[in-house]
Amino acid sequence: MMKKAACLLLILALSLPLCGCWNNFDLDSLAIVVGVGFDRADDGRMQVTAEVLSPNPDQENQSGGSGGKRGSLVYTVEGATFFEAIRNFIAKTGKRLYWQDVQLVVVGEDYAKEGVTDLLDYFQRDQQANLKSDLIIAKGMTAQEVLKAQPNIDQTAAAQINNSLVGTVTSGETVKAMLFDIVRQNSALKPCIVVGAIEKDKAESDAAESPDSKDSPELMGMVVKGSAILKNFKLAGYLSPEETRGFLFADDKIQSTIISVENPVEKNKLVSIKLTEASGKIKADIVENKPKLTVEIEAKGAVGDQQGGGDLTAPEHIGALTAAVENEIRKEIASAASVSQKESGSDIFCFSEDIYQNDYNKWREMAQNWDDVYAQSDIGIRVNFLIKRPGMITEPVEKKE
Amino acid sequence: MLGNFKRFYKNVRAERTYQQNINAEKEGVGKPIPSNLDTLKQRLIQMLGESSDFVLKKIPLDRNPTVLIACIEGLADKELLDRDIIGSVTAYNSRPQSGREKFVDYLKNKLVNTCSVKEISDLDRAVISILSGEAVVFTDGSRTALSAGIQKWEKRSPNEPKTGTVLRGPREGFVESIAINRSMLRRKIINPSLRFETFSIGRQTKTKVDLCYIKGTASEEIVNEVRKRLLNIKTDVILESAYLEQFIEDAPFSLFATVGNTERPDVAASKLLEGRVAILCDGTPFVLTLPYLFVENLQAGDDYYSRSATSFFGRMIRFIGFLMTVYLPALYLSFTCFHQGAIPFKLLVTIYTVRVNVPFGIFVSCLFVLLLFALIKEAAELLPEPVSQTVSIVGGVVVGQAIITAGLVSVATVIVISITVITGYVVPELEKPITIMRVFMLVGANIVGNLGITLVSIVIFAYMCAIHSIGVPYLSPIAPLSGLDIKDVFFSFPVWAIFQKPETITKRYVKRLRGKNG
Repeated sequence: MMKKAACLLLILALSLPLCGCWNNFDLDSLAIVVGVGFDRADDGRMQVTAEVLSPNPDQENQSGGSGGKRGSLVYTVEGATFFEAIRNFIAKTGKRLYWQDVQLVVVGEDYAKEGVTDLLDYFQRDQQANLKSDLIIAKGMTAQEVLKAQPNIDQTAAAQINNSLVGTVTSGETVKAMLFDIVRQNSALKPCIVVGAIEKDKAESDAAESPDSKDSPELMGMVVKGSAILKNFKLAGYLSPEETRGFLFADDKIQSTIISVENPVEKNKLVSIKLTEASGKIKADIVENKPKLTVEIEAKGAVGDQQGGGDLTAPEHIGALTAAVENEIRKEIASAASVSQKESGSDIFCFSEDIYQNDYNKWREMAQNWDDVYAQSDIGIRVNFLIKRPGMITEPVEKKE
Repeated sequence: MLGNFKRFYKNVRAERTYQQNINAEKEGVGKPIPSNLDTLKQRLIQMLGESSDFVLKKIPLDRNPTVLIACIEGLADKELLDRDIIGSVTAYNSRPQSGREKFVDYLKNKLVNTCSVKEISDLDRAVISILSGEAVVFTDGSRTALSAGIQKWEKRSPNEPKTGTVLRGPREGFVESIAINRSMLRRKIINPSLRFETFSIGRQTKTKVDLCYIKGTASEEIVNEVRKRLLNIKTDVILESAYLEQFIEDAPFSLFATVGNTERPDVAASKLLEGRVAILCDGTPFVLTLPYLFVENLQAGDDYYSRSATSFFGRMIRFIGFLMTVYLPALYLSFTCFHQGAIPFKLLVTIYTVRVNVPFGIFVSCLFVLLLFALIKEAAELLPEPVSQTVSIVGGVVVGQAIITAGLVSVATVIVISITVITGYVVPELEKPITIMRVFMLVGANIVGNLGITLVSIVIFAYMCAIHSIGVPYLSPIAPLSGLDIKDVFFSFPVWAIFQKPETITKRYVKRLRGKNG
């Protein structure tokens, strides 16, 4: 009996070290990081901006301005390395930084041009960090500016940007990329990924710069729009919202979006087509030693709304609408392709993978100067669109003369 | 260390039993009743003292030897005493001398109409008869006395029990009188095999204890074992069935009860019909049932009196409540201090904002709030009802609110512990072990987080697997698994579907008469 009890206790005691490193940290000894931003300081050191949850959001109001109460505090520290920088946080906040719930990683434009590999390293190496956070590029800004902006709907800037990122993704005008997706590019032949971008809203930033504006602009003055191309983990260029949608069509990432085309019955009026299904495929063939690249899109949709009159269910009008939508999609893909070929020289569609899989020998020939080969290749775009329904009505309400 | 302790405990027990046996033997030597009434009177006064409730009535008769009647006032029915006993004695005196039978036979025949009559030739027995409310009639010159069972005292009538209440079901409960309790069971089970074996336990209290079982249904081994344990009890006092429970239970130091108790005749009857044995104890409405398994803690009368589909949810709620009340504080502690990443972000934000700026750690504040609730509960239980309501309002509402407002304990902790305490009342039978298990879990969680909870769970579960109730494994029919008995564990099947008696208890397959389709 005693032996058995001793045995049981021993086995249970031996299982204690199995759980690896553990420690008991009460929540109030932690600072929960929701957003983190990376910039290059003037002296070349790393500048890290962290947005941490305010432990007492009712009493502390950092910016002290009007608008919603901010539930977070923003700290900026510098350090030779990222790890050194975050060590300096502890001196500032008196709390350990807690990385597991980072919602957003913002990378300043200048820093992104140098490459994001260094910051990815920490997120991969640390046992606490979370690779599921979204990465976003601050277009024409520093990351610090973005995180310091005053949120007006959510309690934290990170949460608000993250929410609007998710919202914009549904319309296909930006891209949601997690740190994990970027890390995964490491195994690609030619690492190239499109990530979301945030920029100053032209119309509203003018208003924000009026004399009575505060030190930190409101987040309302910024908009998550378009996307950035990271080629070899370095910022290589931007895609406009339309180009982004073109890219997403080809990348088979569009679920639903809205495309507005001219009303075939009444000129100068628009009809919105709501896409219900879309699938995109890329294909790379070698013809006469030259790559022949094709993007094929199959899409279905319904009429979402109609300006002006006319019965869109008439066959000729359906034909005209279909052609117009196909044309629109083709135009968007073509402009995305031209940006990727001419401006950034980066194969965002990953044609390289297709060639690698289908014709390895040819790929080995091209691999060295793939960027040039890609830039000079023709990209054919085939779009097949089908209008399934006119919606719940056929003809709009008309004025009776 | 545990072994030594157990050995020591066993020795103490054995020693005590031995001494008691010797004393009992000495007592057993019967002293004859003195034939001289004066000597007898002296002896009685010597034995019973000059108690004010001890009544001795000497009736001198001119044509007959003097008669001495002894009884206890308040226990013996005064009306019966005057009318039947004294009346008969004087009537005998006035009858013609010739052709009349002996006085003792005459009185016996006369009294048989109204009460039970016994002949006694042993003084000690006579005294015990007096003390249990009988009237004893001594005659001058005779060595035998007559005892008449004319006991009558105030009894509570059966009313609704406070424990194990049901929405639908009988409203009667056991009472303090063993005779009434016995009759209640007889009324429920009209079966000649229902047996009551009466014991008298406790040298000072002489408490009547009934071992009750259905012969043929209850396993012989269990009945024999319980009988043996009851006979082995050597003690002075049995005031409540809990005293008996402590003498006969298998695991005296266990957190879990291995002897069940109920105040409801319907519950006791159903346990008897399943093949369990019941122990009735005079002076308490609580009837013990054996063997008592873990699952019985989670079964409630309502399960059988409501539709099986809905009572399934009731039982599930009780299972969930049991797990929640044991694990919730520990999980709260381990998630907030060790595994923050496992908390959904929005919940973490909520807990974080209320948690910060609280002076004590989660472990201390959990223990503090648990202690506070335990104190309020204890105070409310012990006080009379009108005052206890004030205590629970002041304690729960006022103090609880003040603690949160003052920032002594975070709101999240108070919410977690309140839910824990409330869910604890879902399984009232397990409430006491749960209180202790909770603290064990909390300590485990405070040291190594979820791993600690797992380790403590393993120890408790292993312990539950190890203990027995009268030879039946405590966790059966779950461990060891019994496919037939499991029908009444996690689900409660319709009554007609539970057609066999629990095989873990009867130790063999006994088919019940099916209520449905014959």
